Amino acid sequence: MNIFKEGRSRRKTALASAVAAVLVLAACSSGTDSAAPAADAGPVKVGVLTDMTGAFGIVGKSNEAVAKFTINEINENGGVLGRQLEMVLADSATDAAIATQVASRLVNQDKVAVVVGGVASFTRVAVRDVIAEKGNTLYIWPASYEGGECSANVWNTGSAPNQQVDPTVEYLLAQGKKTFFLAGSDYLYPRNILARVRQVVEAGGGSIVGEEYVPLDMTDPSNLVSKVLAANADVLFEVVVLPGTAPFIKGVVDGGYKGKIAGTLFDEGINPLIGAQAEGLIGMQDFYLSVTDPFTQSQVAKFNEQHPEAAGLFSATFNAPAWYRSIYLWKAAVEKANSFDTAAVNEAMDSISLEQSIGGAVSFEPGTKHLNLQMYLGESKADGSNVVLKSLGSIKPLECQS
Amino acid sequence: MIPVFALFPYLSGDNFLLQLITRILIYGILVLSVEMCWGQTGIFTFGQAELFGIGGYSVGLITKNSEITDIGLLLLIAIIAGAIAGLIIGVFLFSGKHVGELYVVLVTLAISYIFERLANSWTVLGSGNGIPGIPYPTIFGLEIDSAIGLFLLAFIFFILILFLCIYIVNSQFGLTMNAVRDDEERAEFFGYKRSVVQIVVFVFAAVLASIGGALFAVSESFVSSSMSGLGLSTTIVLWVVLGGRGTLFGPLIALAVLQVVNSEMQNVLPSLWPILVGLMLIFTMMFLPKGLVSLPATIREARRKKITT
Repeated sequence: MNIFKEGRSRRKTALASAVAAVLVLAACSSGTDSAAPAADAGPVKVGVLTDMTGAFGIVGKSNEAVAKFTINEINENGGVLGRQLEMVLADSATDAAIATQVASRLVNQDKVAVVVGGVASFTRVAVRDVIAEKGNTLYIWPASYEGGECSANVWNTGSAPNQQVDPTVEYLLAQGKKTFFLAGSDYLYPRNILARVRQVVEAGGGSIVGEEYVPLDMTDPSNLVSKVLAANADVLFEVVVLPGTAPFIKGVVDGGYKGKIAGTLFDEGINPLIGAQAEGLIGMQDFYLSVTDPFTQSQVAKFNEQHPEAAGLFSATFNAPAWYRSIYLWKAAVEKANSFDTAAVNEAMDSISLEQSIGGAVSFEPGTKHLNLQMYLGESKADGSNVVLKSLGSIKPLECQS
Repeated sequence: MIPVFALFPYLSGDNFLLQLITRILIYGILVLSVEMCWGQTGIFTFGQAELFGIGGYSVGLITKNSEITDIGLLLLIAIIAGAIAGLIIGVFLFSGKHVGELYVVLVTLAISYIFERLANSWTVLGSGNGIPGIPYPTIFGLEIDSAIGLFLLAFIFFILILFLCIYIVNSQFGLTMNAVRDDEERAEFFGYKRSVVQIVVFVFAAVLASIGGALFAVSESFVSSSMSGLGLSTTIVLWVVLGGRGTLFGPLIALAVLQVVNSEMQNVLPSLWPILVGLMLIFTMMFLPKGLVSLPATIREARRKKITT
C-alpha cells in the first residue's frame, strides 16, 4: 500500500508540472504583444498560406516565390495606399488540422489584412471559417477547383469548373469526337469536374461510355488502364491526380490508345512528370508559358530572373498566375475603398478588374465572387511544353448565382 | 490549479494562444487514450485517430443534418458511436485466442487506412473536403462562441478524463491491466480473463478518443480525413514513444512541448523542422527507450556508473 501511495503523490506532482509546462511553454510562444494593432504608417501584413511541406510542397515553393515576387513589385511601386506590404508566410503542411492552426496565427496574432492561399480544397474549407467568419478577415482562394465556394469574405481567383470544362468538351465535340470515357481520383474535385463533363457531353450529343474512380493514392493503374483500352472511346477525359497521373497516362499511351486524352490538370508544371507520353494531351488553363500577351511574357521573364530557386515552377496548375492576380485584385479593391477595413474592401472587391495581369485581363463577375477569366486551349508537346491551340477570350464563371 | 486560473485573464486576449492550448488539451485526451491502451495494457494501437474521427464525424453529421448543438447531447452521441466502434474492433481483435502485438498493430493500422479512404471518397463524409462549418456548441441553450469558452470546455473534459485515467491506473483494475501488459499468459494463469480486460480497455480508450474527436469538431468547426487517418494515428504513437510509454504524464508533456515548439518552428524553419523532429525521435528511441521523462534517471544512472568505476 505504501508503494501505491507514493506513486500517487508522485503523480500529483507530475500532473502539476505537466499543466505548468503546457501553460508556461504556450505563454512563451507568444513573445510578441499581439494586442497592439498595426500603426497607420507601418507596413501592412499580407498572409501567405500554402503547403511548404507535405505532398504539395512543390506547389508551395512556387506559391511562395510568386507571392514574394508580387509583393516586392507592389512595394517597389509605392505600396498600397502609401504603405509597404509585409509578407507573412504560413505553412499549412498539406494537412487541414495544421492549416487551421497557422491560419489562426495569421489572423489572431499577426493581424494580417488579407490571407491569400490554400492548395487543396480541404485546406480552403478548413481555414475559411477561421479566417473569413470567425476572424472577419478577407480570404482569397487562388486555385482552380470544384466550384461552389460562395461564403462571405471569401473571393475565388482560380477557374471554376465551367471555365475549364465547357470549352474543352465543346472543342472535342466539334472535332467529331462523340464517345467519352471519364476517369478520376475518388474525391470531390474529380467527381465534380467529371459531372460537369458528363453534362456538357450529353447536352452536345456525345455519349459517356465509361466512368471510373480510383483511390487518391493509387500508383498501380493497370486495372484502370485495361478498362480504358477496352472501352476504346474517342476521348479519355481524366482527372487522376498525382501521384497516379504519370503511370496512368503512360499506361494508356503505351497500351496503344488511339483517342484523344483531355484533362484539367495538364500544363508545363505537370507534363514533365509524365514524360514523352504527354504529347498530344489537351488541356484548358488561364495561362501557358506560350501565351503571347507581351505583359505576360515580360512578367514571367522577370519572375524567372528574380526567383531562380523556383525556375520552371511558374505554371497554371501550381496556381502561379492566380496568386499574382489575387494580390493585385486585393490592392485594387483597397485603393477603391480607400481603406484596409475588411467590410469596405469586401464591398469594393465585387466590381474590381485588372486590365493587365499574367495570362490576360480579369474582372470579377458582379455577384458571383468568381472571375471572368481569359482561357486558353493548350496541347502538350513531347518535351513538356504547351502550344496554345486556341485563345478563347474571357469566359464567364457560372457560380454563386442566386 | 490556482496558478492555472490566474492565467485566464492573460489568456483571454489572445485567441491564437487559446486555440493552441485548446488543441493541446484535446490531443491530450487522445494521447491518454493511446496511453491507456498501449502504455498501460500493452495493446499497441495504431487506430486511435479513426476513433477520434468517428467522434468528429458523428458531431459533423449531426450538426449538419439537424438543429442539435447541445454539447451534452453531441458528446453522448459521440460516446455511443465510439463505444460501438471500439466494441466491434475490440471483440474482433481480442475475443479469440492470444494474439501477438504485431497482429494488433497491423489490424488497427489497416482499419485506420480504411477509414481515411472512406473519409476521402464517401460523399456523406465530404469526399475529402470533410465537413466544414460546424456551428458553435451550446450548453443549456447558451452558445459557446468564444475561444475562452471552447478552451474551458476542453480544459474541463481533459481534467476529468485525466483524473479518471489516474484513478483507473491506480485501481485494482489498473494492476490487472499492467499484468496483462507485462505477461498475458501469466495474467491468465492467475485467473484473469485477458480478453475481457483488453476489450474493456479498448472500448474505454475508444470512447476517450471519440470524445476528443467531438471536442475537436466543435472547437475547430470542421472535421476532415487528416484528423482521422494514418498520419495522426502515427503521430500520437510518436508522442507516446517520445514522452515515455506507461508513464501517463510523459506523453502529455511530449505532446505539449512538441505542439508549442512546432507552431514556432513552422515559421522559423519550415523545411528543416520536420527533419529535426525525425532525428529527435530516432535519438530518443536509440538512447532513451523509455522516453524523455527517463532522461533525469538515465543521467543519474550514468553518473553513478562513472563514480563507481
